[in-house]
Amino acid sequence: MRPFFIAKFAKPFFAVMILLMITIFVAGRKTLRENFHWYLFLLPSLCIMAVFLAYPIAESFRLSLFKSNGFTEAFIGVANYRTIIADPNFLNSLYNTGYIALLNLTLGIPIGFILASMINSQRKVQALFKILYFMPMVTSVIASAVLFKYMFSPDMGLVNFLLQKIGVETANLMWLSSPETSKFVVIFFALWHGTGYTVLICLSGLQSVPDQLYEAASIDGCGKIQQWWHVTLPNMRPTFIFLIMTGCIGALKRFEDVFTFGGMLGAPARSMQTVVAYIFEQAFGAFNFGAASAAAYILFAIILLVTIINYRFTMGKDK
Amino acid sequence: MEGFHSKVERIILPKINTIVLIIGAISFCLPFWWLLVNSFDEMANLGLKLPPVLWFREGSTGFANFINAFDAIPIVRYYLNTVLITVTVIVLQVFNCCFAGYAFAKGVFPGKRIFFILFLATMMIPFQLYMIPLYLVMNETGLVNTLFAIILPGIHSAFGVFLATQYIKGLPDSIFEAARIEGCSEARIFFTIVLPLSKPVIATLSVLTALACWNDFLWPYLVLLKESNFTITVGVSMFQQQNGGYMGNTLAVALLAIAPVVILYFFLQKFIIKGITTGATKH
Repeated sequence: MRPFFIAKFAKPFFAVMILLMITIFVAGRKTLRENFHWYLFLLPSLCIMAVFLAYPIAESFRLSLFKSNGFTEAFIGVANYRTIIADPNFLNSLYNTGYIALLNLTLGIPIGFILASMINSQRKVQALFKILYFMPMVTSVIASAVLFKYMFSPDMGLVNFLLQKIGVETANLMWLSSPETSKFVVIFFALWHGTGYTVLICLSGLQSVPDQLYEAASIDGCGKIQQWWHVTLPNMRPTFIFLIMTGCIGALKRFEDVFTFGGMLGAPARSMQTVVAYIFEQAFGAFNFGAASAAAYILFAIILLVTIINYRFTMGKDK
Repeated sequence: MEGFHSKVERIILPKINTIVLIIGAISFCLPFWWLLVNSFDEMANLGLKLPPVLWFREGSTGFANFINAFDAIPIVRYYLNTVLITVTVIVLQVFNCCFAGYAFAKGVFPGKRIFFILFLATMMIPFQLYMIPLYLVMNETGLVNTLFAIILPGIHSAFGVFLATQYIKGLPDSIFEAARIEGCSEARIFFTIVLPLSKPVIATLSVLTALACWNDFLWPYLVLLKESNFTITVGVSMFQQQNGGYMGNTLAVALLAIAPVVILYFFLQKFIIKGITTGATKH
């Protein structure tokens, strides 16, 4: 460890202390003396947050206004943001992220919901199906992406082998080696890895639909499928909104699987490079910390926007 | 006197239902099976264009891939590092989250609401936003390449604080009042009343943290540069980048990363599934 080890942490630490003192000052001294011990309970969290969260976030914003490679720095204002927005590679990475997210969500949520409905109507082996469908989710993205990389290998892989068995012409299906098909491998992987989660959340949503509604529907002469359509679906709205929201945010942060499939450049031909991979490339490939921070802030803005839109949706329904 | 429609729904539908579910389950588990078969297949390394196998190939099934992998990289070391990080983070995070959760749930102090909103707001911030300065901080303090670089930021979890707060809020106030009247200090209340009563939420939190720690990649990949410090996911990724041509060996390493989690999952599945569901629905 280098000297001044503690000194580096001092800046953010004092920032927290000042924040605490301002709160205390505003709140008045008398109430403080009686309630001081509660701050001690928060102190560890606040210290960690200050050093490893608040300070880096602020520093990231500062960096985004500088041209920096970690050694030399020069203030250039919003030029980083301008460069990033005009960079075709960044736009391409946004497109890729959106493309993968859209297909993944529009396929994943219906599939997960239908599977969950089917599992819910099973009597005996409900738990077993739940366990099996959820299994991919507990494995590490990296290790299972390695597995998928070989499964989709054009001539040794399992997928083309099985496709040949059922009579599909696979000579042109290069999967990860071709920019046209590489995104679909990511989508297949995301579906395999994430559908168990969707199933689980849908199941807990399904089980919270009140039984009386079904009873009422069946008295009115609704069949099972009609009940599913008229009673279950409308009542699942909050669950779907939650799944779309977490799905969007998760998809915007997609990195580990595309990194395993195609490195930080999203090879071939940047066809898989996501926004986070782009940030990674700018930061640790080109050592362009300023541009990377600017891209990270743009990503954050998008995530914030998605969250607010989703939040509005839920709030609008509650009123 | 039932119509054709209801007959279909009563008799045929459940069967179709079960068949579809079984086909689905098979396709979800097929990759795992293929991984198992191929990591034990000694011919998988040769790069021959053999048709893929779905059953253990006769004559070439053995542990050679695993022996190669153990010779090439210090996998045991990776396991130790990962376990060390996971256990430390779980213990520290559980204590820390319960500390803050207790203050938010039962404490009365100025600025409580503001602090709580501040904590919740940090849940929305993506790690990628601050990973570069965080790396620079670690670099300047000399923590790069040590396990502390992963453990220290892992101690605080806004989501964990939120879970703990929600749970501790549900504990009856009368216990705490009684303890206070008896002259019990807040610290003692925390250790003798709050912690033992919070076992369910501690379990949930531990499960979620353990999975997240074991499978975490981006941050460990950035800060751990020496091979002897790698976690298992970093190890898999590096091995794949360097020896990706040897399919058998690489799959063996991937299996070694996946197997402990899957085995644990089968033992603790009720726990894990419950933890993930409560974690998600408490939002």
